[in-house]
Amino acid sequence: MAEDVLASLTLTAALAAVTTGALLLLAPPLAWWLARTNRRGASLVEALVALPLVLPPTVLGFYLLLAMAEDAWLGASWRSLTGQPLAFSFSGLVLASIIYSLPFVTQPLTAAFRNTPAELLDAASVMGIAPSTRFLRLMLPLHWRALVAAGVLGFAHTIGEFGIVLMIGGNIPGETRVLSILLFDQVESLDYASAHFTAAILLAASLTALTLTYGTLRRP
Amino acid sequence: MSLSLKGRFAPTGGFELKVDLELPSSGVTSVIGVSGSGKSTLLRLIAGLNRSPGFQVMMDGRDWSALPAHRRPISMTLQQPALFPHLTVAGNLRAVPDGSRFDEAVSRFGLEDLLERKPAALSGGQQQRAALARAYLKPAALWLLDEPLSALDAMARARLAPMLGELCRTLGKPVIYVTHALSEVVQIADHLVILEAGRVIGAGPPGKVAAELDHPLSPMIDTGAILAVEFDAYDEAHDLSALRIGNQTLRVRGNLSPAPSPLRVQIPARDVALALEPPLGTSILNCLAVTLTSLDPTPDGAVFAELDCGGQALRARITRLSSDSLELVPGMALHALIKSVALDVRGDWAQRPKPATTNY
Repeated sequence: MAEDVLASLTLTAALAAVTTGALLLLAPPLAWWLARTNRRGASLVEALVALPLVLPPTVLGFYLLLAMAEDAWLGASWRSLTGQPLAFSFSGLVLASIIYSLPFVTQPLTAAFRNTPAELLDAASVMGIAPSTRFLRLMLPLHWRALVAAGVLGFAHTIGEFGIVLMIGGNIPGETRVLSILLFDQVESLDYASAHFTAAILLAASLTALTLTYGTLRRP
Repeated sequence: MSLSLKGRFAPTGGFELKVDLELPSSGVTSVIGVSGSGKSTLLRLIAGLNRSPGFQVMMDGRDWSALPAHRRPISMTLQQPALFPHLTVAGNLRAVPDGSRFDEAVSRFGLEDLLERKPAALSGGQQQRAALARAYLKPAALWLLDEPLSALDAMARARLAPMLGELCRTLGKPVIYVTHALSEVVQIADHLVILEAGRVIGAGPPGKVAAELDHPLSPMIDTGAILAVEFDAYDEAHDLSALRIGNQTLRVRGNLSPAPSPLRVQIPARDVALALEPPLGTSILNCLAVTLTSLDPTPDGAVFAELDCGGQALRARITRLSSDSLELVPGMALHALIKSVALDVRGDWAQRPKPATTNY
């Protein structure tokens, strides 16, 4: 049983780490664009990013499952690229997690970026710094606190996934059986002792992550 | 060779800036106006921080209008020092892409001991010095200073002003210096532009602008007169400096012997009174023989008297009753009693925290 927990723990940590890494590449430019743009389409993009916040994970999981099927566009192109199926695989879980955790990383960044003092942007411009350099070299370091907070939130939220994993990941030990699924199994098989252990790990990890996040944000 | 600014800029909110200006591409041009007159907007348009298809910026024959701000060869300080709070002073300076004169900038603005400090640990004056050094690092064809002293307290201002004066004199680059305080630039400006409600109401050499300004239309700015004077002698016993204006003498408090000559003094119109004869028994020290050139009534019931003082223009704002009872007519010889002479002490020779205003 302890081996089960360890395998699931390792898998969950790997999934959360890969997802968070991908999100920290993807979300900052997206959040910067959302914070600065005046384009009419921006509201739609912002709504799409926020959708996982309000949608039942099963809805998202259902559509992803359809898209990842062998004969669907996403599953088929993944297959032709890698020779592997996407559904019920670790890669499929990562993709789903990125979409599912996107708002948790993007929204705090957008909020922080919107608060950038206008005179700092002006100063960078008159210093002769191009917008892309300004973003990478000045704005990201300036907002490091928000980046840390967003990363931890994304990590914690990925650990907490259940519904979407259930829909597209299934329950393959070492491949897709993350801690939340393992807990479900343990409860179903009335193994409450193991369930206590698994639940405690999830609780402790989430509480630690959130405490770290709020601690980072609180410091002046 | 000049900087030409032409067009209309109307951001939302009803404000409209409309100018057609040709500025010299050397020396210090000071853009003066009250807040809301559009002076900062004009500077932002030159810098490219605001752009508009209807507004053209041409520098020495090159059209800058399509260039984004980061491609324009300008050095600029903003109203706020705008240092990056997560970087030290050194980090802020090193963020300038082509900043090759690091050591020179550091010593010029006295930042040697502050390099490792974060902006939050600096005073307002220190922050502004760091901002100036950061601007200095960038190779530029034009300098833009947006109210560089206005965010500072009197002490910091007195320390920074000489540094700014020195900078403007030694840069060898044209400087556009925006301020709401004429006294700040009276010694260093070679060219004045007065803005009011988005329109240029006067432009040219300082003496000429002050003389030509239509005062009744611009009651907010009492530029009065700007006179060129020469230092004559210092009377130590009374702590007074004698300044020559033509063959007459003005006296102001303090020792101005180290001041650069010729000096400029600013005399607000409301501080000038008129007399038919040189008065006897008065505490007013400064009395100049002048000739009345014209009288202009103002909308608020006063009268502006234009005076000629040895070829330089002086102005007095007096009541209509005084004008009538003295039976003033153009051409009359009069005596101008000057209650105060505002001297700008913000040259590099000044050590005092406030502009010396001499009241008698």
